[in-house]
Amino acid sequence: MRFSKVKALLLPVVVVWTSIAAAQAPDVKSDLAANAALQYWQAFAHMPTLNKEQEKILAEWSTVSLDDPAVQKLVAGPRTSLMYLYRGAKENRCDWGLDYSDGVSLLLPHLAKARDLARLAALHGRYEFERGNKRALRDDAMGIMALARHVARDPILISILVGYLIEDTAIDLVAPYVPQMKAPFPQALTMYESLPKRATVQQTLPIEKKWMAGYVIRELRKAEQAKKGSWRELWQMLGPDVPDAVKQVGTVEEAINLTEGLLPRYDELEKMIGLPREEFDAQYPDFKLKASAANPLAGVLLPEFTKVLAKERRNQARLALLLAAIAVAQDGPEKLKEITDPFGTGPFEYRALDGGFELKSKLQFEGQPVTLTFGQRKK
Amino acid sequence: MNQPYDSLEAELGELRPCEVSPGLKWRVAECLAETQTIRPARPWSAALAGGLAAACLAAVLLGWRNDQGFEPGPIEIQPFAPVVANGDAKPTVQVYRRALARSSNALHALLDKHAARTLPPDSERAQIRAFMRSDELYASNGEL
Repeated sequence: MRFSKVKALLLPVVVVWTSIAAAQAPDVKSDLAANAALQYWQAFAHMPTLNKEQEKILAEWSTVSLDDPAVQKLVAGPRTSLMYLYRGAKENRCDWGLDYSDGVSLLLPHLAKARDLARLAALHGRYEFERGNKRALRDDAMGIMALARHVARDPILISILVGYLIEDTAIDLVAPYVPQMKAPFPQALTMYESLPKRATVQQTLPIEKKWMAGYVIRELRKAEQAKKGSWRELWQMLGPDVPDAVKQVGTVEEAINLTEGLLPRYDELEKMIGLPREEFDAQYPDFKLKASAANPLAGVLLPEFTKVLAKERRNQARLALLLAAIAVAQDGPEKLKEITDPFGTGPFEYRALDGGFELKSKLQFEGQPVTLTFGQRKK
Repeated sequence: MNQPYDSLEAELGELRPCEVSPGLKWRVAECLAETQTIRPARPWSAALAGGLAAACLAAVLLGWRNDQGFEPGPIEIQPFAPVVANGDAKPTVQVYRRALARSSNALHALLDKHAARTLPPDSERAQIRAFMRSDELYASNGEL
């Protein structure tokens, strides 16, 4: 009888233990393990701690001398990280476990780590290719591309931008070797199309509205409930460079009204981004002007899409250039007649170089046409 | 024969569930409501109930062993300034957005900085701070 209470208390523990044991065999990969992020975080954990010299090598991975002993030492180190990168890249599903309710305070520690892992893989791919290991280049490039897509899986503008940065690394890794690789174009196209899908810039708008602007509203209310007047401290977090009209907001109601007044703009912007490129470009400047005139908070909270869309288009152009180059390497420049520049009305511009060639898109980025050079890797 | 357990049993008998914060109650209620509206009862609901009971037991025992209560302290609002002074130490959405607003190079530099080292420790435990993350909020409520 004395044990009866103890037994009653311990019974749920036994029930939980037995049910867990029945549900999950330790040596069988569960569905939960089919999450690329788990593999990537193990890759990050095994990445070497870099000193200043190694940081520089990684930043200049595409041009550093492969004969440099410091480079060779760095390349020899991250085998385990790369193993986990390849494993992560094979998974279609990737959940970084982000808690969007953290709003603008949401931590994104995986972004910087992923970018460095991509650079490390790129240096490794380059090193191995130069030693005759073409397979390693392919594995590293595909691993980097998948990582880029997985990073950009969350519809958060910064995540998408870092995804583009990482894709750039993969393109810069492969481009110089395209003439030597002579990869079959259909195979390259299949591999490209099998990559995980990233979030679109358009998909970020509902997230921005609910979790960024909405977060500010919720936090202002919470702060004011906890202590009168404390909303002001939160309001300051919008930054020192906000317009005077924002700085001069005098009450929490006014602050909330101002933020709520911005919410319909997110919906308008979402629709606008879905328009054809030319129409968006024509309408967006006017939208920005009107939104800022109507609500001084617009310039503070609404994302600046000009830069983001410019990066998105550059990324699209570079990927198209790379695929076109693979076709050219297989079938010659004549093949370009069958491929239309997505930012023009005709094919990409071709220019033969010593040991390679150059392709140019009609798309302008920062005042220059987007161009890729194939072949001619500096050693 | 059972004499050695008398003191343990007596202590267990005196234990009472601790008061949980309104926030925790609200979240649990929300989760339960969501589960009920979306899914009918499943066979594993017994295991879930057992898990909750076990969690309660663990909380009770830990509270007993540590001889600590869960009395929520007064809510304090920390001045906003330290968060700004902390600058771009943590890789948050807002820090990256600000960097991007300056230039692409500023964003790259920040990624370099965040890649180079692990996250800095929190300088001090805040009760409630400007735009807190949920982990900090739960910790400040004494729920973690």
